Amino acid sequence: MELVLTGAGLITGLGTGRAANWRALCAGRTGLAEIEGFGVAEHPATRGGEAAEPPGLPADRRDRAHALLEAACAEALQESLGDAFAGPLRAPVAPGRAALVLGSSLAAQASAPRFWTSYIERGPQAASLDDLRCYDVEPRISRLAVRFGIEGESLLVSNACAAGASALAIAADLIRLGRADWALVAGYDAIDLHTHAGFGAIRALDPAGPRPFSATRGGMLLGDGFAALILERADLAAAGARVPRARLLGYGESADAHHLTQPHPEGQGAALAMRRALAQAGLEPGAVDAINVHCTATPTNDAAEVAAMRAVFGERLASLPLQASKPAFGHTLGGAGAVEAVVALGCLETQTLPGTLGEAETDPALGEVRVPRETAPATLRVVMSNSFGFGGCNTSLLLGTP
Amino acid sequence: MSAPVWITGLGAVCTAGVGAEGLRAALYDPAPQLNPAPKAREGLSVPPALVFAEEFPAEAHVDRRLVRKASGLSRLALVAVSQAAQSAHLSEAEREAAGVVIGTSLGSSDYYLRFYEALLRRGPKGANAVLFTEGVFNAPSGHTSALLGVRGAGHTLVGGEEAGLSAALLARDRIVLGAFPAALCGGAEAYCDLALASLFHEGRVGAALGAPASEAPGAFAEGACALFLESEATGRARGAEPRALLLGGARARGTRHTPGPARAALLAACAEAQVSLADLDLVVGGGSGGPRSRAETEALAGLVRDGLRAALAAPLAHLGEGLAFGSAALLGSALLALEAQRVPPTPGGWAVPGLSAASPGSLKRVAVLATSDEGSAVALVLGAP
Repeated sequence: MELVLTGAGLITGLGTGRAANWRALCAGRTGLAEIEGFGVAEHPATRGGEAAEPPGLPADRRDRAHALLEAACAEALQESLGDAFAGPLRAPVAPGRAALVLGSSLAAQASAPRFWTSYIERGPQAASLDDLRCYDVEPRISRLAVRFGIEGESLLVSNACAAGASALAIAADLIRLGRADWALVAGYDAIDLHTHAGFGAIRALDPAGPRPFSATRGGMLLGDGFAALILERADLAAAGARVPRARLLGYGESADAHHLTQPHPEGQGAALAMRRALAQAGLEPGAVDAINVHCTATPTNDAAEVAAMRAVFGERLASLPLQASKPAFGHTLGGAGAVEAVVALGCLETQTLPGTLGEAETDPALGEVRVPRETAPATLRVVMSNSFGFGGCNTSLLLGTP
Repeated sequence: MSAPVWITGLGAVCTAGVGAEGLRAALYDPAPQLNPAPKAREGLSVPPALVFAEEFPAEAHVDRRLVRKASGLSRLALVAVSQAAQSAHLSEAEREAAGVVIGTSLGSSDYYLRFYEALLRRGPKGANAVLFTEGVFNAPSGHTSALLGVRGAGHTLVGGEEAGLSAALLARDRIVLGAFPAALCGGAEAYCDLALASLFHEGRVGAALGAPASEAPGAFAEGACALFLESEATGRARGAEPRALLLGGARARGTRHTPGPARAALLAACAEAQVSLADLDLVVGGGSGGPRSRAETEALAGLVRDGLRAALAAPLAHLGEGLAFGSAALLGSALLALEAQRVPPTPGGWAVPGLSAASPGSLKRVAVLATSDEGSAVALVLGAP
C-alpha cells in the first residue's frame, strides 16, 4: 500500500509556518537566541529556540504549547486540503476512519511551575491542584481530535526524542492494517524550565551552541518544535485531489538495550533501525541520496551515530550528504522526528539540501563524513531521517519523491 | 483476518500480591486492603488508595543494581515485565528480538514533580539528573530494554485509563505487521501524592472501592501488569504453548462520558477478529464506578440490541482504579478467566439491561474494553487456544 504525505505544518524558533522555516533554514539562519520565556540567568546555558507566542495567549502562558501544536496541525490540514479550501479544517474522510497520532517526550507539562511557585511561596493550601493537570495529556489529545473531526484511532507515543518519528511510523501501521485511511500526525515538545534545567543537569547543553560532528562539539541547545504531517493512502489522496508531496517509503525502529541516557557506543541500535527501514522500503543503502541526521552534537551521540551510519552505508558514507537541523531549530526533543521529517519533505519537494550550521571542519576521529555547510540544489529521490532518544529508542524514516 | 497473536506470558504487581498469582488472588479471592493514609507531603490531603505502605521492594525480584535509582513506576514495570518474560520461558535470543510497549497515564510524576520542586527551591543547583532522566515517560521501557536485552523496539504510550490496553494493541499490531516477532507489553502506574490529590480533586478516583454502579469511581491503585505476545510462527518455532489468542482490536474516540467510543471500539475489534457480538462469552471492562462506568454500561446495553449476550466482569472493583495499570490488568484478568473458565466476580454485579450475570457454560471468546475519562476507548478480542 502506497502512503503519501499531503500536507505539513511547522512552528519552531526559526519561524512560524512551514514556508518561513524553510526559507530561514536554507538561508542559514538560526532560531537560537537568548531565552525570554522563563528565567535562565543562573543557568550555564541561556539560549534556546523559542517560537513566537501564539496570538491570544494568556499572560500566564497557560497552554502555550498546545496552542502552537494546534496551529501546526491546522497548517498541515490547510496545506493538504489546498490553499483555496475555506471550509472548516476537518479530516476529509469519515470521522471513524481518521486517526490522530501524537509524539512527544514530555507532552509539554507546562503548568507544574505555576503549582510549585504557589506551593513554595505561599504554602500548600495556596497551590491549585488544577495546575497539576499538566501531567494529563488526554484532554489535549481529545481537544485536537474534536477540533479536526477525528473519531478513529488516537494515541500519543512518548519515545523520548524519537517520538515524532515513531508517531509517523505508528500512523503508517494503522493505515496498513486497514484501521484508518488518513492520519494527522504531530510531534511536539516545548522548551521550558524543566527541559532546559534537566538537560543542563545531565551536561548535554553547550552554551556556545551545537557544532555538529565537530572535534570541539560539546552538546546541544533546546528549542520549541511543533510539526504536523498528513499521512494518507495514495489512492484516496488522488481521489480527493490532494497533492502528494512525498511518499513514506518505510520506517525502522529498534531499542539499544544498553543504557537509559547513553547510546550504544557502536551505534548498534541505530544501525538496526536504519537497516529495518531500508528492508521495509525494499531499498539498498545505495538508494539513499541524503540523510537528515539526528546529530545532537554531544561527543558520544555523534560518534555513535557516525559509527551506525558507517555500518550501514560503508565507504559511501564519505560522499553521502548529511544534513543536521538542530543548529537551526535547537533540539526539539519529542518534536524532532516530526520536525526533521518536515525538513526531509522540503528537501524532496524543492530538490534542495539546506546547509548545516557549525564549524567547517569535522572531527577527524569520526572518519570521513560529508556535511555541506551551504544550501545547494541536489538530486534527491530518497531521503533518510533519523531520530534517536533516551531509553535507547531509535527510529529511521525513509521518504521519497511522489 | 490476520493470524492470531499468541499470549504466552503474564506478570503483575499489585497490592494483593506479585505475579500472576497476585492478580489471580485479587480477582477470585479478593480482600483488597485500602491504605487509609498513604504517605503525603505535609498539609496535603490524599484519599485512601490501594498503594504500598513503603516503596515497592523490586530488589527482591530483579537485579538490585538496575533498580537502585529507578522511580517507583520503573520498579513496578520492571518486575511485571520480568515476570511476563519468565512465565513465557524466554531464552536470551528470544528476548533480544522482542519489542517492549508500556502504557502509562501519570508516568513518573513523583520524580517529575520532585525535580521541579528542587529546581524552583534551589535554582539550577537543585536540578537533579536522576530525577530528570527517571521522570521522562519512557524510562520504564528503556530500563526494560536494558534489563532484558530487548532490541525489537521500545515504545511508551501516554494516555488516559485505556493506555495499558492500548499498549497491548500496539504490540499486537507490530507483531502482525512483522516489525518484531514478539513483545512485552502492558501498563503501569505508581503512587504520587500530588497526582493522587489532583485526581481526587478532579473526581477521577474515589476514596473507597467502587463498583460499576457506584456514583463515584473507585480508589486509586498502583501496580503494573504485563503480558508476553508473540506471533504464532515464533511460538511454534520455540515450542511454546499459547495461553490465549489475541484475535483483533481497535481504538475509537468521541465525546467524554458517552457510549459512542466504547461501542465503536468494540464493534471494530470484533470486525477485525471476525467474531460476531453473539460469539462473545464474556466482556471484561467496566471501570469501577462513576461516569465512565455509566457510559460503558450504556454502550453495552446498546450492543444487546445488536446481538451481544455475554457475561460481564468488572475486575477494577477489586483491583482499584489503576488507570493504565488497570486497563492492562483487564487484559490479564481476561486471560486468567479464559484459563480458569470462570468469570471473575464483580461486587454488586454489573447490571446491564438484557445481559445476564450468569456465567456461560464455557468461555471461548472474551472481549476486553477500556475507556478513558476523556472519551477514548480500546477493545481487544481474545480467544481460547
